[in-house]
Amino acid sequence: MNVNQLLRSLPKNDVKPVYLILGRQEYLSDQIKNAFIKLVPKEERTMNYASYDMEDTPLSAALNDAMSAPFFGKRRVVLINQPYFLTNKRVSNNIDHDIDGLIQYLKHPEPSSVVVFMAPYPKLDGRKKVTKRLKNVAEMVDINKFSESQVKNYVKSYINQHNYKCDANSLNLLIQRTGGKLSMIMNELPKLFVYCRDKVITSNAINNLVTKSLDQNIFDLVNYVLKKRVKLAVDLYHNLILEQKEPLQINAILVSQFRLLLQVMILASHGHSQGSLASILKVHPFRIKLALRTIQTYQFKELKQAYLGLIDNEIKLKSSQASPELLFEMFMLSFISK
Amino acid sequence: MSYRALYRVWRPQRFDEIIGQNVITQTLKNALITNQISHAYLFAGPRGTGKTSAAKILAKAINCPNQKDGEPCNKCAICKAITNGTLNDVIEIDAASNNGVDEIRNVRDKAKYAPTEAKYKVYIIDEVHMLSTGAFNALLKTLEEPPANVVFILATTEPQKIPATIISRTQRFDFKRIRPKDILKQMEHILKSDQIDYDDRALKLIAKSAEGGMRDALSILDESMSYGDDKVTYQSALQVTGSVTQDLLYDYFVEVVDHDTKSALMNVQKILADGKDANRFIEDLINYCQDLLLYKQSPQMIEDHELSVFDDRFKSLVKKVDDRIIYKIIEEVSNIQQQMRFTSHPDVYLEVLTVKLANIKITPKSSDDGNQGLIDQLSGQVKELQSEVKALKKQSIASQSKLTKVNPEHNKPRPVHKERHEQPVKINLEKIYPVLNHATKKDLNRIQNAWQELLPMLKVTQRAIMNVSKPVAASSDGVVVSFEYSFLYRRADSSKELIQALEDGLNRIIGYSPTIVFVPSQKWPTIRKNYITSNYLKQHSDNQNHHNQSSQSSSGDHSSDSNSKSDHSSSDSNDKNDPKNDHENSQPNPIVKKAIDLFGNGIIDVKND
Repeated sequence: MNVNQLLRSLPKNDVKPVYLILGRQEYLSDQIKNAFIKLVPKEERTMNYASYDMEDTPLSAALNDAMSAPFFGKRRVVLINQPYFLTNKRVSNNIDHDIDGLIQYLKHPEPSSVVVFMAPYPKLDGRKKVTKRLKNVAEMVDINKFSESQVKNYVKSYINQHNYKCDANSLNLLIQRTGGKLSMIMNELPKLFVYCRDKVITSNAINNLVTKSLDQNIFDLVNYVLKKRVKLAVDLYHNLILEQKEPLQINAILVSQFRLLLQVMILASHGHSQGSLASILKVHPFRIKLALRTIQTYQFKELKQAYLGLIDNEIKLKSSQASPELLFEMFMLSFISK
Repeated sequence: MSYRALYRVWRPQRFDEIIGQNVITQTLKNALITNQISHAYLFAGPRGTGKTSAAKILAKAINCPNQKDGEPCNKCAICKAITNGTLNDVIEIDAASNNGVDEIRNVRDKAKYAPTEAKYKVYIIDEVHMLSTGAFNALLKTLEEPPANVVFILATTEPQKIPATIISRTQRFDFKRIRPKDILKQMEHILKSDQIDYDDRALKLIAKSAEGGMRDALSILDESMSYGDDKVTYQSALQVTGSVTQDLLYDYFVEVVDHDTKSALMNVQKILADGKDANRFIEDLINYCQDLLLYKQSPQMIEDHELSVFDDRFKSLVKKVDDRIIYKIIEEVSNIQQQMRFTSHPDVYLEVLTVKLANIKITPKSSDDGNQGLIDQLSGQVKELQSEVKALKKQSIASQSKLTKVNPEHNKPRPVHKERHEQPVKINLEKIYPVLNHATKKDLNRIQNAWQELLPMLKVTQRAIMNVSKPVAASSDGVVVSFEYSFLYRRADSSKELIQALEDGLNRIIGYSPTIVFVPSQKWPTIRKNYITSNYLKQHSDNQNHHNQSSQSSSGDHSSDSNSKSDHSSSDSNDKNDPKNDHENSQPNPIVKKAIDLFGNGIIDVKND
C-alpha cells in the first residue's frame, strides 16, 4: 500500500487493525498521523486515542491500551512511535518491552482497535521473529521509497492545488536546494507562497528565501573554485567559516570533488562510458555527467596539482595553526595562476 | 538625555529600514497583509544583519492596530510600548542567560494564557542556540501544539546548533551579510542626516572592515566620529580599525622587496609607535600581498569586488614584483603570525620578520638560479650516468655472452642465492616430485579455474594468505601451489587447518581432494628445473642435449639476463611441454643436483671448472 492509497482509504473507514509505517519522512508521517487521529471523533480523543514513544514507555502500556475496548466510541487508535525493537538498533534505556505480548496480540488483534507502528527507520531487522510476525499481519506503508520524481510530482501537485505556478527550472532549483527532502520543501513552501503574491514562484524567490543546505553551499563553492571565480569562492568560504562550518569538512568535500574529476578523467581516457564510470566509481550518473563536462576545460596536470594542493591544505589544517581562510586563499591563488 | 550609540539611534523601526534583507522583509510584510502569520519563526544570520530588529518590528506589526501594508505605525501606544520593551505581551528572552529547562517551562506555561493588551503574544527568544537540550525539548512541545494567538520568534547566529526538529516546526529566514555597498549607503545616509562631514575613503574602510554587520559598522563609525571631533576622517577611521594605510604598506613592501632593511625597520618602528597592533599589521600585510597576487591574475575582478581603490603605485608594484617573492613573503609572514600568538613581545617578532623579509631578496631569485644550476648539474650527471650505464651494459653483455658460451649455467644459482641466506626455507621435495611425475596441463587448468572459486570459501585470514598464491602444477591427485612471499609460504605450510580447508574446498568444487603441496614462488623455477633435469636425464641422451644447447646459447646472446625469467613464465603455462628449454638452460649435472638437494642451494656455490 502506498501513502496515497492509505490517505484515501482511511477517511472511507476502510481500516485495518494493524499498520506499520516505515521510513523517515517527517512531512508524510505527520500527514499519516493526522489521518489516523481523524479516525477518532474529536470529543473522544482524550479517551480513545493515545500515542506512545517506545524509547521511554514500555510496550505493555500500549498493548493494554490496544486490548481494551473503546470507551463510548467505535474505535480506539494507538500510535506506537519509535518501535526500535523491530530493528537491530540498540537503545540504552532499561525499559523492558513485552515482545512476547506483542506477538500474542498480533495473533489476535483487537478488531475495534487500530494499532499503528510509526517506524522512522530505513529498514527493519527482518530476522527478528516479532518483525516477521508484524510484517505478516500489518498493513505496511513504506514511505522510504519516495523517489525524487515522486517528490517532484507531489510538490508540483501541491503547488497547483494552491493555485500557484512554478516552472520546471524553479522547481528543480527548489528540489536542488533542499536536497530533495520532502519535509524541507513542504516547510519552505508557505514562505514562498507568501512572498510570491502574484501566484508565480520564481527562481529569484527560491534563491533568496530557501535555506541552502550545507551540501548546496559546498556545491556552489566547488563550482566557484572550478570556474576560478576567486573572489566569490573566497567570500563564500569566509561565510561558511562564519557559520561555524568545519574547515576540514569543507576541505574534504573539495578533495572528494577533485578526486572524482581526476578519476573520471583517467577512466574516461581509458574509454569508459558514462554508465560504466558510474558503476565503477559507484557515483550517481548525474555527477559523472557533470564531471565529464567539467573536465573538458581542464588539463590533467592542473587537476592533479589542485588535488595535491588540497591534500596539502588538509595536512596543514591538521598539523599547524595556520588560519583555514588563509590556506584556502593561497590555494585559490595558486590554482588560478596555473 | 545622555548620548546614545549610533546603532541604537538608528535601529530600524520599520521593515523598510532594514538594510539588505529586502526579500525577507517583503515576505514578512506579505504575511502580515494576507494574514498568514506562522506560529513560529526562526531568524538566522551573522551578527548585525537585522535579526532582532526584524523580530521587534514583526512583533509590533502583528499587534499594531494601525498596521498599514505590513508596516507598524510606531505611533500608537502598543507600538511605543513594544519599542520601549514595556508591553507585557511581547516577551524578549535572552536564551544565553535563560537556557535551562525551567525557564522554558515557565514560558510554556505562561504561553497558555491569552494576551492581555495586544492581539498576539509574541515571544522573542534571542540567541536561541544557547538553550540546553532539555530546554529545546521543552520548547519543541510548545512549538508542536502552539496555543492560539502566540507567535514565537527565535533568533540565532548559529542555526546549525538548533535541532532539526525545532527548525522543521518554524519558518526559517536566513539573514545575509550586508554588502559593503549597502553599508556604505546607509552610513552616508546617517551622516548626511546628522550633518556630519566625512571622508569617502574612511567610509569605505569602515564598510569593508565591518564584515557585513551593520552594527559593527555603526560602532566603528561612532568611535571614529568621537575620535575625529564629530568628523569622519580617513585618519580616525584608520586609528579605530587599527588598519595601516595603503601608503604605509606600500612603502614597507617596497623597502622589503628592495632589501632596504634599515628603512623597513624604521617604518615598522614608526607603525608600532603609532600604536598599531602588530598582529593587525601582519594581517594587513598578508591581505596586501594577496591583493597584489589577485591583481596580477585579473585586475578587473578585484576592482569590481573590493571597495578599496588601487592607485597607480600599486599597479606599478604589481608589475614590478615577482610572484615567487610574494609567495615567499606570505609564507614567512604567516609563519611569524602563528608564533606571535604565543608571545608577549610581538614587536620583536615583527622586527625579526622585517629583517628576514628584507633578506628574502636574493633567496627567491637565487634559489631560482640555483635551481636552474642544480637542474643543469643534475641533468649533466644523469647524462654521464646514462652513458656509463650504456658502456657497462655493452661490457657486461659481451662478457656474459662469453660466459654463457663457456659456461652457461654459471650464473644460474645466483638469483636464488641471496634469498636463501635470508630465509632458509625447507621444501618437501618428496611430496612435490610425485605430483610432478603425473602432472598434466589439463589438471592444472582445472585447478586454476577452481582456485578463483575456492578463495571465497575460505576464512578471511586464510584468504589473505591464499590471495597471493597460485597453483603452478597439478596432477590427478595432487597440486603444487606457489606463494609470492616466503613468509606466507611458511605460514601456510605450517597450518594444517588451512590445508584441510583447501582440500575440503577443492573437493566441493572439482569433486576430489588432491594432496596440496606449497612452494615459495621464487623457489619454484629451481625446483622444477631440478626435477626436470633429474628426470629428463633418465630418458634422453647427451647427444640431443648438445645439439639443443648450441642453438640455445646463440640466442642467449641477446637476452642472457632475462632469459631465465622469460623461460619461467612461459614454462609456467607450458609446463610439461618444454622441459627441453629449461633443461638446457640449467645444464644437467646429476651430482651437483644431488648435492644441492642434500644441502640446499644456500650453502652450495656451484662453480664450474
